[in-house]
Amino acid sequence: MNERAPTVYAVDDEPATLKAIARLLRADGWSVAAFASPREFLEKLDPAAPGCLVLDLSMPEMTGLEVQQALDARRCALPVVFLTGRADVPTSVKAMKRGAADFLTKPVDEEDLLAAVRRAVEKDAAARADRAEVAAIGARLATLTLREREVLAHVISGKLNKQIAAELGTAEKTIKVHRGRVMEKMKAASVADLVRLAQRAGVRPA
Amino acid sequence: MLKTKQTSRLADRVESRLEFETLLSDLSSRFINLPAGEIDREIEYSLRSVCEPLGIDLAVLWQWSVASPRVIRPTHAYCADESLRPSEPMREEHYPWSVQQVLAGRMFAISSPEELPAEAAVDRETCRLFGIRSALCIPLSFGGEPPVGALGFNTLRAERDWPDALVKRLGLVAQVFTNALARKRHDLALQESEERLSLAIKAASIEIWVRDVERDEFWASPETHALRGYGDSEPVTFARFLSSVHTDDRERVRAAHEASLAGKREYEIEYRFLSPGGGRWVSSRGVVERDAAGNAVRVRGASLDITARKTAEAELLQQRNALAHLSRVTMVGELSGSLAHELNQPLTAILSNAQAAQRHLAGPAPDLVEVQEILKDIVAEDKRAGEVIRRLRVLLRKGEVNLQPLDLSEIVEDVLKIMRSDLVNQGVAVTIDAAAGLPAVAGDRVQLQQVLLNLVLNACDAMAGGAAAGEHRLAVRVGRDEAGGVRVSVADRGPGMTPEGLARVFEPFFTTKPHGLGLGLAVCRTIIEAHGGRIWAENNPEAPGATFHFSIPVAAERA
Repeated sequence: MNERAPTVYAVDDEPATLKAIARLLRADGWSVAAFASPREFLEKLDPAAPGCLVLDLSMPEMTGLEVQQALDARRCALPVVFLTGRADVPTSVKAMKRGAADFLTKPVDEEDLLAAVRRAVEKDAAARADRAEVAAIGARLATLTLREREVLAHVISGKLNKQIAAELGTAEKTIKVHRGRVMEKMKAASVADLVRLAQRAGVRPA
Repeated sequence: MLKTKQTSRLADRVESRLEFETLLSDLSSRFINLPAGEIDREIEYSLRSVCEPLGIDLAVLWQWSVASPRVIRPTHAYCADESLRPSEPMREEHYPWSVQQVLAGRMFAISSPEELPAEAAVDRETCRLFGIRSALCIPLSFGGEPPVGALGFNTLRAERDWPDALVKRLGLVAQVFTNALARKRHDLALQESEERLSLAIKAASIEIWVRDVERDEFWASPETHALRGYGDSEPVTFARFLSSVHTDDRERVRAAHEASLAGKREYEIEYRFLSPGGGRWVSSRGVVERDAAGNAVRVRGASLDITARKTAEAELLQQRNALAHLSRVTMVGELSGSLAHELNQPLTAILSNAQAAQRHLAGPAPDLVEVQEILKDIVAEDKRAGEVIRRLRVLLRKGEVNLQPLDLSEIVEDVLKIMRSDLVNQGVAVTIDAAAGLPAVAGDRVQLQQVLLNLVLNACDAMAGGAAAGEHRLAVRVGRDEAGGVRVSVADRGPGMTPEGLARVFEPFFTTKPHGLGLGLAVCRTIIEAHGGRIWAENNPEAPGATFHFSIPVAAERA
């Protein structure tokens, strides 16, 4: 698990607003990376670093929605807290549909902003933990042989060894050995545990 | 030419040269200086004094009617006995031969109707009808012009001879009458012409005036006296005239008079004067008359009442200001999103800065240097918000036109600042290309801002309607105009305009927008023309898009 401290990115083309927002976030104890240019932010962004993004919606260089799209294109799941000068319903709906963590109007109260940032960072941490778990399961899955994967698919569909042996055209004893290796390699404590791990890794029952 | 038969005793007496000359000089002297209105009466009196001693029964002075030339009007007559006065009116067809003679300017005399030639059969018949026994007819002609009528002498009771000497003398009498009648016509024509002029002066409300510089006398047409509150018999001097002028215009009028006397320029001025019926506006022009040495002797002039025009102009200006204000309010409505955003930026910074400062101060060891920095930024942002409000207030001010030297580049920058967030939101990229060292123009800041706002908003609308992606570009250029003024050009990359659109785009209520009022560009044109400039539109030579230009004379040229 990555235990790096989260970074709150702030992007706003208005230098005075950017500075003030960054100050407020720092005063709340966050480590802040502030950018007046959305392009510069996209260049400097480290996708491995946890945290969230506080993003101004209307900027001359790139709009907030375009920045959000650019992050999607890079498969970067950094949660976005949008700040906007006007409560424009269609735009906010679009942003939320694309997975915006929050949508706040300026001037923003510290309670709202800091709460939104806290939620976004927690969401990011949870997402990262989730992705780390899936990655770990995937790694275990990669150690299985082709035959063991076949057996796994049948096991998680709730079949008995005898049934599996019949379907694969082999002895029940052989299936029992494969099953043991699968449980071992997948570090599964029980069949129920194995079913959960397989589901997380996206293995479909046979 | 004349057949002498026998001479009567009476005639002998009168014909004596001396007596007749006394009569003629007496007669002539009576007509000298006789007012035109008394000439007719004097002719009749004179006819009597000539005819009575000569035993002439009927004398008729007739003239062709000016209105209908075939009608003969007996204008003056003498009858020895009223019972002899012909009852029939005179008709040309009763005397065709006689009329021919008069028209030809030929005098004729007959001792009896029988003497009339064969072709005068109708005339002879008429003579018989009226009992005319003898006649002398002298055509009347004003100085070489065609005859206007004739003077006829007739006897009814007896035939009569017309000796040459008598004919000659009666010819002189006719000449005196002719001159008197000519003078009467002339006087009447003059009087008529004066009356017409006076009527025209009254109808057109014109004052005629003459300023005698040496005698310091200011003569004015009679109507003027009542209008300007001069006393009926009050002698009007130049100072008295000036006192009738509105106090605000008095110095200008005095200067205009002085400049025209000094020969610097024509006297031509519009000013107000104080009238008992309220103030009036006049447009006054004058011509200076000079003596041989070139000194101004007098100024003759006329002043035309232009109060109605001035009132209409004032109303028009008021309406234009009202329209401009309405159009500004409409525009501010369109801009309100942008303005809210402009205010939001500093307010956001202020709130976040202040709350950051509170957090610092709430901590165990506040970073006072940081707090100091934060407070400085809060002050700066507050000023920025104030500036936005100030710009908005200036834009909404409902004021009179206020011309002052302005830098058009600065106005362009101001307007684009106000619109910044709108432009960002619409994804419009703006470039400003302002030439360095441009001269100032004489203009009204708010009105010119309004024109630019309109042009930029229109350009954005045009591109929102149909510009290719990445083509939302707006180019604003400020530079010298070929005509010497300063020109601002706003070029968009929209679809451009149709020929009809180009021709009509500045007309009121012409619009291509679904919810447009069609007033924006019409107001723009009014404003630019009020600045002595011009505004026009054209499609970009390299499509797509259109460019709106306006140019305004530089400040010095206007003054």
